[in-house]
Amino acid sequence: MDVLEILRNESQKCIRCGFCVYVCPSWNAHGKLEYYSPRARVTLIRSMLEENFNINDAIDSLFTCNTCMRCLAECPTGINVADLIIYARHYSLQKINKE
Amino acid sequence: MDKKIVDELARAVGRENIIMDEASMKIFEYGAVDSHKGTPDLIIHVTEREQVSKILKIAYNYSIPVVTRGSGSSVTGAVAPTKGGIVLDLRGLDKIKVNIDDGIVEAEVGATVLDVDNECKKYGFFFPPDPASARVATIGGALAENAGGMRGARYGVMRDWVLKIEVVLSDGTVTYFGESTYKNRAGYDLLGLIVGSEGTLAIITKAWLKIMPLPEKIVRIAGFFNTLDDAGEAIFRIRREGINPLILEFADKEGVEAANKVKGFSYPELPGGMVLVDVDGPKNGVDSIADRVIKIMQETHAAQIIRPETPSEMERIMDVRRVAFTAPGRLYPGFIDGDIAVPLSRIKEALIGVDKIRKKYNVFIATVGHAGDGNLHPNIGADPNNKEEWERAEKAAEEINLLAIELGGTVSAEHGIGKLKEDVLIKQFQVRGQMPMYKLMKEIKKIFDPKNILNPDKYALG
Ligand SMILES: Cc1cc2nc3c(=O)[nH]c(=O)nc-3n(C[C@H](O)[C@H](O)[C@H](O)COP(=O)(O)OP(=O)(O)OC[C@H]3O[C@@H](n4cnc5c(N)ncnc54)[C@H](O)[C@@H]3O)c2cc1C
Ligand code: SF4
Ligand code: SF4
Repeated sequence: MDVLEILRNESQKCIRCGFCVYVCPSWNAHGKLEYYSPRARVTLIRSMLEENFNINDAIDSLFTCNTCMRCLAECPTGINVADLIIYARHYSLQKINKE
Repeated sequence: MDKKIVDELARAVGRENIIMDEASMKIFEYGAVDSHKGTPDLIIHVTEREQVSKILKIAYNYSIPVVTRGSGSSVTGAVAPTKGGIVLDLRGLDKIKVNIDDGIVEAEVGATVLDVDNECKKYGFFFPPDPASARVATIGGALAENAGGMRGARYGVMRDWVLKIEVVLSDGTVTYFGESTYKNRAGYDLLGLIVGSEGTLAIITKAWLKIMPLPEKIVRIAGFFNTLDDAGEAIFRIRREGINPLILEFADKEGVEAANKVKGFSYPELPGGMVLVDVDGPKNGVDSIADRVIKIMQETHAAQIIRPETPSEMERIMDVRRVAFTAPGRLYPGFIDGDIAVPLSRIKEALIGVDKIRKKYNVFIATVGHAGDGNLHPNIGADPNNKEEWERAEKAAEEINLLAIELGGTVSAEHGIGKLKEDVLIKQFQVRGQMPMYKLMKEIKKIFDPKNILNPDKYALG
């Protein structure tokens, strides 16, 4: 499976419930700004895939996740957001290199 | 949005609280699950209650739509800014103060229901309403949706637990509805009007809520059934025979399957699903009530009955019910929320009726619900990009709502109307002879919000 396919399959499972948000250290450290939440990160990845959103416009959202995986324990659809973010970072860096 | 207005807002709330980047606009397009969306012009991260009045004065002056938002976990498109405008993120307002002497808790609206409950527990009390989304549902969102929850079988919905609210009216005026007393007959019940109004009449900034002492002991029992008929009979008999359960929940086979997969559990995946019951009371009295529940489950042919003993086992089985609600999300990119309630005696017919609709349209439906108060969530999963499949899903959703009306029930028990249920709400009003009430609702909206800036385009109010 290529990176984009993994990102698509996993991000589609997100129902935007927000259960992951409250446990996220980066959301809490950034004064509860949604932009720094796991839900936002998954939404932006999905927007990149479905609406051509340029993920590099949200680079600090992607790179402020410390991959602690606390969100995984909360996610009712079982999304490993940390894994997803690592894939998205690779993709984003590849894109920057190409540009 | 005009730079002049943005500058005015920045002067009122601080430029650091105004968010306008493209990524954030994407993030705030939706609430949970459904497909309704809209792009805001800007988002304000509210950090002090006083800011809400300042923002509304400006919005009123320039007739700008304002969509108030807690955690955005509502499932009907209620927070989608379909007319653009300002989205207010109120999660920064999260102060909580427990007042045991008066039996109340004072909470700012951005605090979550779970945080409020946990704060009360420090004093040996609890906050009874407990939506399955309690960890994210804010007090403001729960009041504006009149949320229910697991303990609704005993304790009802948010309206039953709120005594007083601080509100900001559409022109920025701050006022209070209700009193922080357990009884109050001073004035029309405008507090009741705001509860369940989905941000269309006023913005709530603080609430005074009733609390209860924690029960001495809770016993949890889960029964797994071979047929929906048996599960429905068990639910009916538990209520009919005078047991007053704290929780009486249902999750069907699809829901249990999903929870097993996501959480790595191995609970029985049977065609009749799971009935989950909590009974509570004094330490030495509760076992006899639990025995009665077990006896009813045996008589209604439960294939397996589990009585978890440790707190972690109890939590695991409750997680099955919580995760079951989200089952369609794991399998399908699209999710249509179901939220019907029927008279208690007709729950079995509702369960079997939904199953027939599932077969008729060949769609994925996971039904969970607060069965103890007649509330079922038949949630549908489908792919919005597959036109034919999505149409079948929408037809099934409509038929489920019509089934609820036919059984003497309602199309919205606790999740509200938002965008998703606008058509079926009017249908229900028509069938029940409530069009004059609908007319009054529209008049009330005009009085509270003459410029139609508060969450416009929702609740079938235009
Ligand atoms: C997995 C899952 C499980 C759920 N389980 C339940 C359940 O068991 N019971 C239940 O009732 N619901 C449930 N819900 C639905 C939802 O979580 C509740 O309606 C919740 O109360 C919404 O809170 P929120 O803070 O997310 O509100 P939001 O979604 O942010 O807002 C909901 C509505 O309230 C308005 N609003 C928000 N704050 C204010 C305010 N301060 N003043 C005025 N209007 C305001 C918004 O404009 C919107 O119309 C569930 C949802 C999910 C995703
Ligand atoms: S893995 Fe990243 S997104 Fe998830 S909780 Fe940790 S910091 Fe937040
Ligand atoms: S908990 Fe999972 S499904 Fe819910 S918003 Fe977070 S990633 Fe999406």
